[in-house]
Amino acid sequence: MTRSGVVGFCLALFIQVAPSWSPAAAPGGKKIVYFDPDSNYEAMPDIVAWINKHLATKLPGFRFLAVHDMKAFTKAVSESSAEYVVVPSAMLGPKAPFKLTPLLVSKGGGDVFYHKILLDRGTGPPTNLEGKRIATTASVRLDARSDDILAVLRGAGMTTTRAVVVRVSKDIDALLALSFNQVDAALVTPASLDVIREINPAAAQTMRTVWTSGALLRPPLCAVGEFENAETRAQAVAAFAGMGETEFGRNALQTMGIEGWVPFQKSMLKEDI
Amino acid sequence: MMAATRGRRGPMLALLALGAVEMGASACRGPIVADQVLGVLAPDKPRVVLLRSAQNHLATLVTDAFLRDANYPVAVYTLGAEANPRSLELVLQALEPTILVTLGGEAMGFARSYFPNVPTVFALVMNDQASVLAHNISGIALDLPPFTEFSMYKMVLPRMRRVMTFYAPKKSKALIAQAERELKQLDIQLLAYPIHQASEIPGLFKEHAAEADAVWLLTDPLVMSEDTFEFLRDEATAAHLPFLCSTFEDFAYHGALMSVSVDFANVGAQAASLVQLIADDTQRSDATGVISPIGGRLVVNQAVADRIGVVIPPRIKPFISRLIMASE
Repeated sequence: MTRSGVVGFCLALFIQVAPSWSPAAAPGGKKIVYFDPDSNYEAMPDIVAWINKHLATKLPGFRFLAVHDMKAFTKAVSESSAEYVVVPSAMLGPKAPFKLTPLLVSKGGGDVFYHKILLDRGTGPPTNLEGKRIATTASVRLDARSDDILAVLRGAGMTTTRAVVVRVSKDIDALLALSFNQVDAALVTPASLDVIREINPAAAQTMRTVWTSGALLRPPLCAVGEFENAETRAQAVAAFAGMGETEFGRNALQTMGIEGWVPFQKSMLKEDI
Repeated sequence: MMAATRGRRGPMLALLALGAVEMGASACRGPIVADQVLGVLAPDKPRVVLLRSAQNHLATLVTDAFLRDANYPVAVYTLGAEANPRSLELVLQALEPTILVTLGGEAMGFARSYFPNVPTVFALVMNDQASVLAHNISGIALDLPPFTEFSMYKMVLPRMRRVMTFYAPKKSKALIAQAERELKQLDIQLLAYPIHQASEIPGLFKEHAAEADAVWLLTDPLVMSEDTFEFLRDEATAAHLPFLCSTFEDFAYHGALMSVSVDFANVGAQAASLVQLIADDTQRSDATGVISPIGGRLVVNQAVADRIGVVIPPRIKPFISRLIMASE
């Protein structure tokens, strides 16, 4: 059997499975829907499973589920009568399809804000993305499609004629693709660049930061719709704020790249781009 | 290439509006219906048909990611066992595709037989088949480059410097040469031992294990067997050596420390970008042709890490695709 034959044989063993973390697979009960285009999509089954194990002790009767695009989010919230959501902060603006009341905000690297940086390999004019391939996990704005991502970069003064966006599962994929000349630029978080600096300092040295986004507020936990039972809301807030108290909660936090949750303040929204 | 985009657009528009194409009963065993139709025709957009050999989990992953990122009209068809190729040819001819995307070997074979002049982007095709390509074919290979694979391993094992592996020279000489070249960029030395039969591995392992920081099971038909996997897993674990496995995440579930495999959602996104590059007629030789998959699925076994004393840095956890916990 050839090398490809080995691969082919094993590929044939794959079976069709429904994602265990999707709304369709979620059993009954009150729902908390998670939608973050910047999350590690591949790790979602683990994150959902750990948070549900954490909630089993801290917020009985609630199920945490995840979706990976805006359409699925709207459907999940409207059809499963979700009481809480974790969403990109951009959803708190006029685009929000539901009335959302932010309660907590996730915190990572000691900050409730983060940035995205655009890196290239340090050659040519930094603002010229013409005909270039740009790898990114998702968006710097809510549920952005490729055209929207390019529009943000154009708004920052870049030329994007015939530029192509390649959406990847996680930041590190985008940076490895940049290191290995599979793309010409990568739109990522600074934390992922730190990882590249450690595993391949020479490649990291060739990378140039050509754009830094404004401060982006990390995803908040929000109540959906009208004010519900105050006691339940307090329990939900306590359950998320206390994620670091259980092993499952800690696993979820680390995989989500955050340290915990802090109370939302209105002033946080002003710094968002 | 662009001349192909200047054909009549009426038929495609009508068919996209209908969302399905039906053939007369005499022409085929039943109606040939598009699985999915996306987008609205525009003069400056390519007309893309995505053709799958079959509807399975991998094809669905690639298709979903492709459709998510395609900003041009796409009609999706599945070849399937029941399809009459001639009827499907007629259906697709009516669509006047300017670019074909094929998922699987049979779909690519169909495209080359019936639409040899239409630029084609392939995925999920064995590399042996992909090596005999025409000038108007681009695609995404099925093998990850060692650079990508070891970059991911090195996130978990930043101090890894020497990696031991075994290979059959007749099958994997080129892969070993590529790995030696690419791993140098990561400051890793490959200790590669050629073998002619699997029974040579235990002796070589015992002789050289002390020189290595990790053991790598590469995708080699002689080496990648159940017996060799179990031997290396058990011996590496006993020696507190990380055991790293290519291609299949099942290895990590069965006791390897880590595996890196192809991320098929990334493959779909890459295919969508290739179509865009071809439609834009960029003629970039580094961006088209057969390209390697971007990134990969890193699966780590926490229980094995605990057993051999490997501490997974918390900061890299957001970049792990699957962390298998001790309780699983």
